[in-house]
Amino acid sequence: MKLIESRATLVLTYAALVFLLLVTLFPLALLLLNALKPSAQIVANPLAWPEAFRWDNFTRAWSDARFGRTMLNSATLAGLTIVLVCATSSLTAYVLARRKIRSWKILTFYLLGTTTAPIQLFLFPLYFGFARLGLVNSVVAVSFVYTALWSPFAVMLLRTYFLAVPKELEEAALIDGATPWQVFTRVMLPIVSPGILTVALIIGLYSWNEFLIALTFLQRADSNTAVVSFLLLSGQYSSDWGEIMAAALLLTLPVIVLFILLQRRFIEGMAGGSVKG
Amino acid sequence: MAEVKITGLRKSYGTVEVLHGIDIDIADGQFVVLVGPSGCGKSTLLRMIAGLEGITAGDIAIGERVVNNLPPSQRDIAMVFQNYALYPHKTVAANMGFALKMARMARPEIEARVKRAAEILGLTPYLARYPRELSGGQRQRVAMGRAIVRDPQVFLFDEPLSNLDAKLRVQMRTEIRELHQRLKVTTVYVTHDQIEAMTMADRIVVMDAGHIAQVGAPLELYDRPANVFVAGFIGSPAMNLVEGVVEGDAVVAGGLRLPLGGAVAENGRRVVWGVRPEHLTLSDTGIAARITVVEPTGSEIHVNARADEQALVAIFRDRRDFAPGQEVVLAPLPGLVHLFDAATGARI
Repeated sequence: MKLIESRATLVLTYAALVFLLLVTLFPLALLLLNALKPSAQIVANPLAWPEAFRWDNFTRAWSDARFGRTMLNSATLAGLTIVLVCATSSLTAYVLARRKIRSWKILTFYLLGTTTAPIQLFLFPLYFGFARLGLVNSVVAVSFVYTALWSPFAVMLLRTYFLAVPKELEEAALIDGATPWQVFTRVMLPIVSPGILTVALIIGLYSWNEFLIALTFLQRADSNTAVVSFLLLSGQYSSDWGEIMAAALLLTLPVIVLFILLQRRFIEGMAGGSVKG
Repeated sequence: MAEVKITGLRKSYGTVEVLHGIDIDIADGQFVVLVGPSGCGKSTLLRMIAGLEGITAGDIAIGERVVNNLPPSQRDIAMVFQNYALYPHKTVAANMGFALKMARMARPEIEARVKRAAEILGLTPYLARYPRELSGGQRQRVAMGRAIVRDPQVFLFDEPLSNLDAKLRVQMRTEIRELHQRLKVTTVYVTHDQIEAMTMADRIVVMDAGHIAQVGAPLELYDRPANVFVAGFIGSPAMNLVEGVVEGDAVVAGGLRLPLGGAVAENGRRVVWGVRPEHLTLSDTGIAARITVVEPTGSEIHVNARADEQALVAIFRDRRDFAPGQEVVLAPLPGLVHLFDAATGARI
């Protein structure tokens, strides 16, 4: 394909892209640089090249933040939340996209409204409820909270994907002898899978990074998530910045790797739902 | 294979009735085309036969069974959609075999049937491909393949050729016809294209605003349209239709005297006078007209003319020199004038 843009436009576009790339990569580079320095040198000049490479920052970060345990908790929580959100929101989105529901507008407002309600509003009542039911310190229980929080967003996103699927496909499947459940699982789900992958990635990221609820509901040391245990690395009066930087890098690494691996499908997914077929 | 019997079929959406009591008998193995302008209810009727739309009143029977309350899957029908409706995530073979898989048929049997259907439709080299890797015509063939592997009692086609280009459409028209002659399955085919209807059908059902305007063999509809609507709808270019009053051996419309050419109606009656373009010929006496546009198609010449502000079209098979602005006198061939009652539109 031949581009019609002039050379000047092209240069400007690339310049802007390079600038944005630098802005994006700068914090990561800073993180990497300082993760290898002793704390004193970071405080002296965070931009300086390390005088000596302190690889032990990583080993100390791993053991002090108990990442072996807490990352497993985070992964379990993220995995459970992804499964729950994808299962509930794909079913809901399908129904909202296909069945004629008279109160659809009210329902939309309700769903949008819930996404705008701040979590602080119902954190305490929720906590007392969970405490009474003995669900505090349970990763499964927290995944339910996350599901309730993020499902509306997932429903709204997936609904556009279901709307983009031609109705004739369902009708063809019905004539072919599929039950409504088979239409959903064998025809609709595979077609909207880019959308589901997008939802899974976003929800996974949200729940990996979530702090407030995790801190409130998962207080016991063996049920902490990685983000919470990371916070506990900084002391009230002094902090080992080298160790904190190394821990931050360890914490963001899985997310970065996942996005690099799935970026292509992720972008396809983000763009796919926007066009109604 | 089976006959399809539709009696007193009505369909309403809320208070709006879109089908007003449809009665059609389709014989076993017949190729019936439902044709009509957009919004006449032909697709709704087809979808009701398929079971995709509910029935407000009346009965649909396939074979001996009344299928009003049966879901689509139990009606033993197969449908081909306008936009093919192929499963994009399945290969051609999986698309064709899906219905058989749903019916829990054994895998070797599925493979054998898909293979046979692919051979009939020339799809064997494409069985492992995905729909997105096929051309429009090939996709249409896969959609038909999906229908024929099931060996259904009735084929339903919903404007299957509308998405294809003109040349491919003509080719697929012949293929569908050949397929029908080979399989002899009762077929209901919906189209808005009257050429498709004329060329493919054993019988045509012309629909207009939720009613049946006429049912008959293609040439019967062409030669003896039952009303003004069918007269104007079937045939391209359309029949010349002029409203006027019968006076002696002509119909008088404004300053025009349109010869009856042997047709009979009582004096003073308000009628619609109709003549097919190819039944107008040059004559010494008749309708004086001035040519506005000449359209040579190669095999024939379409002449558009005006006679006293009334547009007329004539078709000539022999090569002649016509020019815009030229004065001609046109007359209908004897016995080929159609007269319709101006009030009811019915044939006289």
